Amino acid sequence: MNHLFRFIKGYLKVSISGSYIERFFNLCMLQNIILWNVTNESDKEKVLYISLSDFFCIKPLLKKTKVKVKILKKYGFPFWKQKIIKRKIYICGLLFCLMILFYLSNFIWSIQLSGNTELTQSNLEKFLNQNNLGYGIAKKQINCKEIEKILRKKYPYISWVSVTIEGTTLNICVKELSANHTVKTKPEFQIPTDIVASESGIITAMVVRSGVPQKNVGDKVQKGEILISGNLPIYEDDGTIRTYHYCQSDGDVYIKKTLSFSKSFEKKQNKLLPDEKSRCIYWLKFGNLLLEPNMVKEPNITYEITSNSHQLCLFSNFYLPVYYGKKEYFPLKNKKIIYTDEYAKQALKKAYTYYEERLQEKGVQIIQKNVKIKQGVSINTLEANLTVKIPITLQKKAIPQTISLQEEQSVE
Amino acid sequence: MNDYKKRFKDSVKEHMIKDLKLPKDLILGTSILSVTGSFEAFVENYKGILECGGDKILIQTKDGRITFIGTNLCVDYYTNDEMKITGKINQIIFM
Repeated sequence: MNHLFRFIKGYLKVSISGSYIERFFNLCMLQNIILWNVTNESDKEKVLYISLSDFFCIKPLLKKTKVKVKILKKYGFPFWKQKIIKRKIYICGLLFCLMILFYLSNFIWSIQLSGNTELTQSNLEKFLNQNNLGYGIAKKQINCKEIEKILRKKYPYISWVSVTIEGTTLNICVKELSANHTVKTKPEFQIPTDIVASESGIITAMVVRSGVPQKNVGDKVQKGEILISGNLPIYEDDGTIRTYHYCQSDGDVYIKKTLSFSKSFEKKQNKLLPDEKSRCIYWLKFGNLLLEPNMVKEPNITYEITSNSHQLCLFSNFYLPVYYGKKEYFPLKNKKIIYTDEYAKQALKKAYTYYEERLQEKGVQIIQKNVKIKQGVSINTLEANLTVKIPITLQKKAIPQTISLQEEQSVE
Repeated sequence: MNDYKKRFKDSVKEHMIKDLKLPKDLILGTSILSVTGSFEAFVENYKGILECGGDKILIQTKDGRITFIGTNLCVDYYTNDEMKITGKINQIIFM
């Protein structure tokens, strides 16, 4: 900070020589003239720094102590200003650059989304483009509250959204509802539903929350059979059905099943692998104008391309419509790889755990499992037999049952 | 008589420092010398510079003189009541 003030005010590097230099220092101290970086050139000559304003005050002190002063170098804005005034084109360029920066600062060049899990950046950008709110839009045209409203309407799983403008960045901060807290929409009209079996097997467990169970635990069911009915019969005192009430049936029905899983892993594999020698090209993009040199590709060789892109940013929030990046071309070569037994075992285990996780995601409960890994000369295989408990509930629109006219008359 | 007055003043000041727990440098006007390693020294409450050279810097304080002996000694900055000395300090002598 001190340095900056000194630069703005201007300062000098001077050499002083004489017999009474120490006296000169003491007088300067008494006059509150600050000197710094006092270095010794010889016994009677010192080099020091002094501010421009103080330099004009030391004249009487120099006379008094008979010390001679010589300016070695000038620093700071007052001297720099004189030099710069001579360079008119430079100043014009600087002003023009500042004007462009000022003009570009009136637009949005970056959209940052935070707090999202379901809503992706590309989806949001598409949605904003549809509403004419993409990159390059003027800040004046943006109504943050309106965007918040539109977003909440379009994505009902967003519980809270905040839209702010910082520099040339549009910050969108969202809070989404977790999977357990699904949006509760008002039931407009309850359609009576049955629960039917999605798979055939023997029922091992059954929990009915609403509806009439059609099967019991231990019964055999075929795929498509009704397990829980949405038609609730209302009985008369004599046991005859008076009428039917309809509801959305709800419940859990499980069957026991054995699943088998097998996976093999070849120890000798031919793979296309990227070569270490890569070729790089750099690209530059101004708005929609892309400047990229042509890559001379060798025939019959496929390339793996990795690229990265950066957006030019001044300070922390001032994004400009200038992008740059690097593309790396790795030629893919066919290589023979021999894997070890340990590697093959790990890969098979990984595949099996992935399968198990997928089952658990579907709500399948594993009761018993038997996993074996067979090591062959060229192929290792994993075989697994699982005894599982599978939910087989599937909701289907119920066919409303009605009492025939004769029955109705007999009831009356 | 003057000697007696001075001794009386000194004893009063010492009692004040002890009983009121006042800082010594403020009451007695003594200089404070802070040294960082052997390359930096910071002097407060000094009166003037008597000698300023690359090998020796002599400073006048209220109690006496402080001599810094070393090589490449340089006064980094000085104001009315504080001074920073940098360079290789070999000796500090109180005279």
